[in-house]
Amino acid sequence: MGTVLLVDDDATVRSTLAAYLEDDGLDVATAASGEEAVRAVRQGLRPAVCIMDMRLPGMDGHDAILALHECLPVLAFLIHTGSLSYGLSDDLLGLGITDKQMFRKPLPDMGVLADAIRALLIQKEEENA
Amino acid sequence: MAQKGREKLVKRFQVASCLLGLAVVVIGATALFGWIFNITSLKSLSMTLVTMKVNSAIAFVLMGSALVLIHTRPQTSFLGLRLVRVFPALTILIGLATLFEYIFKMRIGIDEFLFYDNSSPQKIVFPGRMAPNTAFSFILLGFALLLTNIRDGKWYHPTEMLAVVTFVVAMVPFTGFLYGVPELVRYTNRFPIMTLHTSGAFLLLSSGILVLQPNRGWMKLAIDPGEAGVIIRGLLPLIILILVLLGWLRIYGEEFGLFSSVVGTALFVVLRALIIGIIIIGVARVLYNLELQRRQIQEQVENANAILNQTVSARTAEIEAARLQLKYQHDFLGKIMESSGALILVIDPARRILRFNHACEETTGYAAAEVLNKVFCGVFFNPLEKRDFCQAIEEVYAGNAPDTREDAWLCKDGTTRWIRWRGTGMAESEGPVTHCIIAGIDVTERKRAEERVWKNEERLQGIMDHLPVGVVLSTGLEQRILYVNPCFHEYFPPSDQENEKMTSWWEQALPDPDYRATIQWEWERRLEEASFLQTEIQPMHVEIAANDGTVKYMRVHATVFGDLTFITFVDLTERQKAESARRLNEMRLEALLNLNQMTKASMKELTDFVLEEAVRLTGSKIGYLAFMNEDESVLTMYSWSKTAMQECAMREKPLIYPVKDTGLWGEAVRQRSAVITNDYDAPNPLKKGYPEGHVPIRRHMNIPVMDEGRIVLVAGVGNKNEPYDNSDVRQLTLLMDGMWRLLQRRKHEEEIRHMRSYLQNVVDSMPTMLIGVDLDGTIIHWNREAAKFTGFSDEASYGKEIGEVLPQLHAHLDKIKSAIREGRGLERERISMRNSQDENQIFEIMVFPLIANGASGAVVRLDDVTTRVQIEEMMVQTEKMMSVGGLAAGMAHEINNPLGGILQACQNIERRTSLDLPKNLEVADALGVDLSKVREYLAKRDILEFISCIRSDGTRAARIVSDMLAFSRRTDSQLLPTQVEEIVDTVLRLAANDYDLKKQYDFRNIKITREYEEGLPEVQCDKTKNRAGAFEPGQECGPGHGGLAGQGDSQNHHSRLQRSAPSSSGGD
Repeated sequence: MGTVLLVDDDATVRSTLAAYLEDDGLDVATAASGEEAVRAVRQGLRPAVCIMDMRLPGMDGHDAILALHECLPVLAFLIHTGSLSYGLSDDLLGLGITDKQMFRKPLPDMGVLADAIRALLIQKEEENA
Repeated sequence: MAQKGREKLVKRFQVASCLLGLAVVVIGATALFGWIFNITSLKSLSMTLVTMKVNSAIAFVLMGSALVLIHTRPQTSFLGLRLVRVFPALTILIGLATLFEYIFKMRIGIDEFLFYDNSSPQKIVFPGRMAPNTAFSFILLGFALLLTNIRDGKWYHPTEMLAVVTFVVAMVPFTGFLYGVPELVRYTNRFPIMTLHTSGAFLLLSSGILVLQPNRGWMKLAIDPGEAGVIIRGLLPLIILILVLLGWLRIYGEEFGLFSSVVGTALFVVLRALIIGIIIIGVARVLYNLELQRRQIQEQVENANAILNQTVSARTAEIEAARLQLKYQHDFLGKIMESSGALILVIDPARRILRFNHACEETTGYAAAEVLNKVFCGVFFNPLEKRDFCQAIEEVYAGNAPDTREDAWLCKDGTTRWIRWRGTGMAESEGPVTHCIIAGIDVTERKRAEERVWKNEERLQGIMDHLPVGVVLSTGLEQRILYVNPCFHEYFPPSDQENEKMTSWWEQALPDPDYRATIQWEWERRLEEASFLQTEIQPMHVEIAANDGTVKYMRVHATVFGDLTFITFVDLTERQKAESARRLNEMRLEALLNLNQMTKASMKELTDFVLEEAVRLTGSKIGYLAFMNEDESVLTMYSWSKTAMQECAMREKPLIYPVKDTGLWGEAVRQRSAVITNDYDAPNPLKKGYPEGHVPIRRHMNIPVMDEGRIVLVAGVGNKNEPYDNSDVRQLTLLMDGMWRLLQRRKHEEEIRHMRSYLQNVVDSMPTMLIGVDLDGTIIHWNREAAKFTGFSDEASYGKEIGEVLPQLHAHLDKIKSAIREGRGLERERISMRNSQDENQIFEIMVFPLIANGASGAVVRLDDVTTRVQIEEMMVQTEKMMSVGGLAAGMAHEINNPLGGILQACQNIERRTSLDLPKNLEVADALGVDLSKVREYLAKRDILEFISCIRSDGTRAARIVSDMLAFSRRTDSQLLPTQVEEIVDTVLRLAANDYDLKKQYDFRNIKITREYEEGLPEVQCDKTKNRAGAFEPGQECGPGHGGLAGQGDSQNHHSRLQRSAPSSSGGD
């Protein structure tokens, strides 16, 4: 199974979600900002899936996704945002991200997110196979 | 005599000089010829075998030629001016060069420049070179000729001095040759000698130069015709010649042994004394004879003087007597001149003033001393005028007798005086005119008087020429015309025959003989009457038909001055016409006045009245009036005059006349102007005749009446006794125009009444109070809405101040008046007023100043905006709510993050305390903890329940936030298929959060019953708006606030949400 890169500026959300995914048997790496995530990838981190919060200090989630995609085109994305009005931009739609890959905070059950991650990982494995 | 003798001697001397010069040329040329042809006898005298050198020969030729040229050539010619200076200068150069060779012992090549001197003896070391004294003599004589033109010394002239010195220098070798004394010829053997013919040539040349200018220097004595001249001319050459001869005789006597040296000397002395004594005696005798002649002449002169004195005395006495006589006459004439009132001037041959009498002084302002000896023309005439005058004076000097003239003379003070004058010439015997006598009189005053008369005549004639009345000036008895002014000719244009010569004004003014005879008879009667009564001639009023056919009404007035008759003709034609026109205008105005007073009359009555007046004003018998349709194609006969109706025998009178079918009377339409037919019976292609029974027509005139370029009616009259003219056209046109204007005005008034009623209706129908006020705010108009609001009828409010009827406007009255005065609108203002039912209403007041047609006042408009104000308040509240919603959305977004942390942490707690996760068991074992005991503890202490509650409440809080965000979000209107149940549930869930502690209101206390029919279809709606719309009543859906109902029809596939009206019993 590939690594999951979790990007969220809220430490509680980031740690509790990382704990859940780890309990679920996933390899999780975290970043508190878009810049940190991009830097980690440029330094060699090769996650398979990235969970991205859209409202971030500095580089926002939208720009961070575009930057990460540029560094690692095979990286799949799940969006985890607290904004109910947020909609996917044309840029992100162009990367193949759909509404099904977008999750609103708060999540009453993190299991749906874990399921989505696994689905993406399986899909990638199938594509690689 | 003496002068003539002197001149004669001068000429002789000059001739002698010229001959001497010519002799020198011959001598020089002879020697030169000998050199050229090598003839020794010509180069030298055989006895001496000494040659004249080539340079000497050339020098003699040059000097002799110069001497000859001085006498034979004028000084201004080239030869005379140049050569006489060049030749001596060359001679001087030859002499100087030769001396240079001697002094500096050099040979510069001039000695044998032309010829080799082979004839010289061997002991002569300078062959071809002239002797030093020869060279010296040439230099002296050369300078002598060059200095001929310098000024004399006191007693001598340099030329004379140089000639005498040369003569002496040449005389020495000459006498040496003559007496055979070699010492006098050769001073040293080293130098050549001056030859005999050279010395002789020098003697001739120096003599010629000496007598060259006999009237200068010493030679002045030689040409003296007196004793000094005789002695010099006679004795000096003789003594020199005799002495030389005596010396020669003594020497040759001694040589031939005739006598010894002592005897020779004694004989020489005796002979010399004898000869000198004879000469002195001769001179004395000459002087004595001259003295005798002088004494005789003196005696003759004295005798002649005595005779002359006697004669002069006698002549002097005669002259004195004549002089006295002349003086008397001169004084007599002078007195006459000075006392004369006429201007008398005498001008000398040089045209200068000699005499200037007192009258001249008085007239011109000049004193005699100021003008005497001045040129006459230059004193009294300016340059522009004096030419003519001077010519007249020259005529006098030419011996003619010019006519008397009148000229303007220039006076001393710059003014001019007119002088009538005539010039008379004075001559000595039959000789030419030498003096001119000008006699004149001052006619300035007469001239000025004449000018005044002329000016007055010109002015008078100018006045009469421009008088707007005809004037004839004639002699009283003969009635011969002296003057006729242009206006008379304008009044009575003359025929061609009269133009040639006008002898009497009667024929021209009155061409008709019969009428002229009648008027003449009356004229003469009035003349006799005036003469008899000694009164002025009464003016006559006559009607005159002039040659050009025009008829004029004239007032003729005559005044007699001595034998002159001054007749004036005043043209009253225009006045007569104006008077006639005025009467017609008055009649027409009276008719129009009457027409205007016919306010109750019908249109037919009006047109009949005007038609009758038109017939009367134009002097016609019949008249008609027809109206034109819109496109000017059809005339509709509307009215005939009474006479026409009475005389017309037609059974059926047609009323409709297409213009294209009309005859002559339709021409007014086609030509769009008045048409006059004074001879209706005359053939006319436009005429179509009239039907049987029609009133016979002899004359006809009709006009079109125009309104804004369109013909509206045609009026015509006919059968006037006299021909119709433009005056009739004008009267008919003005009358019909007046009638048409009146008809139009009545029509317009009717339209205005109708329009006023219509506007009042419009104003009353508007749901707005419209109040018209004047400048003072007094009500002049009041619509129904205003009456309804205030309870005042329009009659009750008219004339009252607006603040009196609407006290609420009292505070705004100044603003309203100010807006009216300044002509600007008043800004909208809202005021609160209570209506007649004591209800509070909000009005918006606006003031519109009246600006058109100079109206003063304004319209005050009061709009009831009560409902609009309430809506605006609700909109403000809504905006506030939307602002709050936007704020809540931002806050809700921030809440989601901690909610997420809480819910995720609770989920992890539950998961990490469960026994299902192997990791939990692994960690518990590692710690030595029994995980099942831990779970049991958590269960017994309800900790798991608490965590479950946290997750449940957190989830609910998240939903509330989500619903609130969805509710408050401002989105674009978008209809989407939506389940009715979802909308209702969401609304009710939100409403459940509504709680107002102040009002003791809690939505949850309301019992909500939701009944959904199964299988309800989705409805197309805007979720957000439906939620908001549902929520709005929901907010106040408490008791007394109505309710919300959803209905659907699954079979017809439609659903409906319905808000129920509030009920007094409250909702459930």
